[in-house]
Amino acid sequence: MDIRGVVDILAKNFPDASADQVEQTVAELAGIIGETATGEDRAIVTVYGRDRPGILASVTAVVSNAGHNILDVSQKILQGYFALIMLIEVGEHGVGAVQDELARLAESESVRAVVQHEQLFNAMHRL
Amino acid sequence: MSIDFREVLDTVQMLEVEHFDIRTVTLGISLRDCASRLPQTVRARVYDKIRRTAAQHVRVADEISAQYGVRIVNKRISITPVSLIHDGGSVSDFVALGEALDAAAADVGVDYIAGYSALVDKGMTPGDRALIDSIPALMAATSRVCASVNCGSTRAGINGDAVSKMARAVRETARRTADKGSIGCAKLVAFCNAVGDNPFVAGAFHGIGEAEVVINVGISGPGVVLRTVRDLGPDADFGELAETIKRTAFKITRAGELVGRRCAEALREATSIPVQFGVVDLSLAPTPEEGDSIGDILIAMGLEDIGAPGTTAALAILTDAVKKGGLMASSYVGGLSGAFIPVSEDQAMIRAVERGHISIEKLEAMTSICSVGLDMIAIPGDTPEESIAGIMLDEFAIGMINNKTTSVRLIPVEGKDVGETVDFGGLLGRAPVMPVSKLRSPFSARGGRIPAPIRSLTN
Repeated sequence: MDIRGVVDILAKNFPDASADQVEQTVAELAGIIGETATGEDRAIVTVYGRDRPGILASVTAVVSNAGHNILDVSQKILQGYFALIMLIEVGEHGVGAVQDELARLAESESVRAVVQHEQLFNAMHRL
Repeated sequence: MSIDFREVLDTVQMLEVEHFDIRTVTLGISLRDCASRLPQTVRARVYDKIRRTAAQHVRVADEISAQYGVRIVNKRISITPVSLIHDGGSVSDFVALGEALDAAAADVGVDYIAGYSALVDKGMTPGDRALIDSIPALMAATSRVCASVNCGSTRAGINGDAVSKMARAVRETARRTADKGSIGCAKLVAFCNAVGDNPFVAGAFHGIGEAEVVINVGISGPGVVLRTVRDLGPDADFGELAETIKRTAFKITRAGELVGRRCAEALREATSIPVQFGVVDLSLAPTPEEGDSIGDILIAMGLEDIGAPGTTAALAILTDAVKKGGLMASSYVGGLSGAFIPVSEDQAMIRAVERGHISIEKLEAMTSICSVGLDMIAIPGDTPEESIAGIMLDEFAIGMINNKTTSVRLIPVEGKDVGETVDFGGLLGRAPVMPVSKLRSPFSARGGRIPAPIRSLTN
């Protein structure tokens, strides 16, 4: 269900609520859903190696072109080395295509790139 | 972002640098519906069932491996002990059945199929005897079939006649595969208290209490444990050591269970076969690669080398902490679940043997508190059968009295003696030939059954 459907249901069931209240409720529900998502369709992209200008842009382009939605990005640089972590929503073609593309990028840029289903991290680090 | 930056890097480091992987995803297949009085019918049914059931096993495991970014090193098959489905078979019938297993394994793309086995802890049927007698010929004729025989148990005692037959089978297998460093013995293991959900070859088989088709997973992460122990430094006390290892075991067990469950689900969807997830085997399993060693963990805990005073205690801390962390992580833990100390597959163990720091006798003591037993140990090719049988009896006595699994996988390397080395290559590694006591042991040839032990007064 898209977000408009949720708004319509809330407006119908709570006719006295103001538009602001409906919007606030939707935002809160979206937050809860986001927190409790099982990670069925999300993956973590990790790229690390010697830093150079433009590496974030290159990785982002590969992921986007493969049809995945980038949900969050985090990057750290230490003494000339970088580690880039990206949370993505996996597109309809799965992670296979982006793995191949990232492997090519990693080889040409002399970095390491790994794509892993989010469930792995939840299993290893969450009770 | 619900994922912590540090956690992600920690996971990637485990997988990329410290050799953490899923050592094996093993498909257990019941062959109980393949039994027949006619040898050719058994062969045809077994061959067809394995091909039908395992056709997608490797492909599915590879897909799950790619999806989670976790390497699955081996995809293997375990089967119902074949003596149970072919008890009327002759020696030649069993060899032909073993060759059919080898062909089926090749067809579905697995490197090993295990369960050419007999369960004879209390006594042997004619079929059991024929199977054991067929082992040397089969080990020489095939490359993928692994054989195991359960010779004892805490409940029944130790079958001395079966031990003598297995000692003979080991000697004969070594002779028949002499041109390849007696490698046939690497596919042959004798047990006490064998378990039916062990995913690791050569000792795997699909137990008689198991479901039709089951996925069992063997995890591995000596490199990960090594890093955490090294990070602790020399000032941490025993409790801190145990706690740190426990935390690491928790993580790798959770990854193993996730991968095992997903493999079972995906195989079920791909084949419509009711594949169940069975257990995670917690065993820390080394490989010959540097940094993937159990021995190095013991050294990092503060031993000059394996064999130094304190070695058994260090191994006890390691094994117990791995079990506790793993049990917290998964309700379905099984198999052997401990720490493997195979000599040929562990660089630190190999070095310790070459320096003369460790003996078979010390290894025997270590096996009383870790999983498995005397594993992948090369001994002189002229070691008498009665000595091999005596070593087996000693090892099985430890298992029987302590209610644990113990095993013996010795390789009496034909034509080689102490000081020489045999190189098997790959995961089997290389083994310096270790000395065996020259003292005679007519005791081991007495035969009969060692009575089951008392379960009270356990000092």
